[in-house]
Amino acid sequence: MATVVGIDLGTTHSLVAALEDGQPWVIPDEEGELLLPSVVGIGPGGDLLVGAAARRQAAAAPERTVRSIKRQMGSGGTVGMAGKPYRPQEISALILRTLKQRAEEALGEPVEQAVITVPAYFTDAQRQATKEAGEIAGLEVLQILNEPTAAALVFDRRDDNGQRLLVYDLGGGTFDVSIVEITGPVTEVLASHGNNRLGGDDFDRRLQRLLVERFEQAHGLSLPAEAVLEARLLQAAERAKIQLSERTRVTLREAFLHSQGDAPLHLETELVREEFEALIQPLLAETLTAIDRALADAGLRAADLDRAILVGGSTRIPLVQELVEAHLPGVAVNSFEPDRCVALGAALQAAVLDGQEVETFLVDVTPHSLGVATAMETDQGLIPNIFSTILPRNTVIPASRSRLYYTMHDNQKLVRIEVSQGENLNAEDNIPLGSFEVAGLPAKPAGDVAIEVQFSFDLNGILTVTACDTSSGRQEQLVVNDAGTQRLASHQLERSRDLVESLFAALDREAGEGEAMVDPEAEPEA
Amino acid sequence: MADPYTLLGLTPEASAAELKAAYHLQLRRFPAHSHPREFQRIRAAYEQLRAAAAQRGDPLQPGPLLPQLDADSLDALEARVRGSCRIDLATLLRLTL
Repeated sequence: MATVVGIDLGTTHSLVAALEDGQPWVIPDEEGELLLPSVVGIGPGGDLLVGAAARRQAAAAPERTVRSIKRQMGSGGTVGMAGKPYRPQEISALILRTLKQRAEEALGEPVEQAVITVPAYFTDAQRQATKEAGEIAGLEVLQILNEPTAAALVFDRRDDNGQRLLVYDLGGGTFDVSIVEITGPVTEVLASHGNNRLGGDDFDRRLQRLLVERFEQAHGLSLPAEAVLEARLLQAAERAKIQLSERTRVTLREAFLHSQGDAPLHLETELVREEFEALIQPLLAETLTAIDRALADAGLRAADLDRAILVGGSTRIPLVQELVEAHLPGVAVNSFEPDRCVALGAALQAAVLDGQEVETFLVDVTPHSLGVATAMETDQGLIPNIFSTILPRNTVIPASRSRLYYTMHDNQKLVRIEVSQGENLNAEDNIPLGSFEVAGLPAKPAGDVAIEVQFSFDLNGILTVTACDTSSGRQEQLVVNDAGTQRLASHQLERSRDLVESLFAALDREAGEGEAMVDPEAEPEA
Repeated sequence: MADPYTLLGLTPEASAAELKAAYHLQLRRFPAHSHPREFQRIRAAYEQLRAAAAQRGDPLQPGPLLPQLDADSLDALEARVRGSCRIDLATLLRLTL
């Protein structure tokens, strides 16, 4: 029998969880590790490395290692690994494929379906890229679930009176804040906001720059821009950051960073927690602004919250908790399974979608506004590209809404519907999702022909836009993100799938050779 | 579209708490993932009734704080302000020109 899993595909770490006897649990690897570092590499012998092994070589061989690929998802570019270009979906698929295999080995059955989580503030393109990564890895993606929502699903202090939670999710590369109302088994998201490029990685980079400055000050020369040096200092910065959550000062030593003549130069410096805090304070200030906007969108004040929960590895930084507490006076702020709860929630939702008997009901929202470009006649003349919102941000999904638009010119023959996503009044500043035309409009004076534009947005992120000439009933349609209609993409998907499979086949062969030395019939107790 | 009260099994006298309870009962019967059409109708009905309640002024929702000032202290304040800026026409002209 096949089973379903929940996967938290994180910037720095990924996890897989499944439901057992109604309870979600995170599946560890053979060594008992729950977190799989989201790092992929090609080893010195051309072998594929995923996880800890890839991370270990990251500083020594950055050109053969890819980390934080989540930040590239949906960008359309490629990343180089051992001289070959890979699409971000392919790198992510290697991580997903590793987790799929881990789950299959632990559960003893094939895993073919999964719920994969993404930051609530991920755009449409980023969500689709994630879904595609799942498909390349051989998984049917049941749903792309928002991370703070997943975390809220496993919040265990539920009662029937209703509680309002703020989920503050600061991970390795992304930040989300969601306002959630929990009533018994019902979890309703009221509003989400976030920043897709803010997380622990940014803290590491700021600290890395400080280390470079310290080195240059100490030795009076500049450090060359070499990938290996950067990777080493980045790792040192990350270690220092983690230590500074426990201690107020750390001493950093990186030997043989550079040389002057024959003399090797080292970095030896002390960092105090306050220095690190000063570096990240401006970034954390942005998260507090996001809290205010999410609250405003939910129509609530801080005093209306019953609790704030901190999720994501970066919330271990003491300053994060301090700032959130100071920003939400009187609200209890707790850390809540910061590493695991997103995967656990994903497993729960996967079981719900699989039709298992799980008492969990979810109502989620779309984080970005969806609309069309329009023009407006004003005293100053015609203003084009005004974004007209049809589905405002934080609309409960699935949703279907329509608006009427009118022709601008006498005898106008066609209208062009340009669909985009975002919050900018200028439609050109938003993210384009596609466009289409309705032609053959009747010859009538300007404003006499009404076009009804309907947006239908489903739980899988498929947006169906229908434009109808109300005078003739003639209509045209655009479907954004429907895998079935994207024939061109399926060819690419096939190639990526083959690539991932061939990399894994090589890995399995090696693993098989390794195992051949052990008697497969031997009793495990022996 | 069906009457929102009928859809949620409510009467127009329903309180905000009853409205939410009825909405939750229906969304548990028709979850978004398995019954998207029914769910959307229920959600639309809920939003419609909630908006109507907000317009009527829901007694459960606290209204904005209105300043309560008594007439006596207002008069006293006015007298004090007037007293502090007494000025004759000659001075005003001199200052202005």
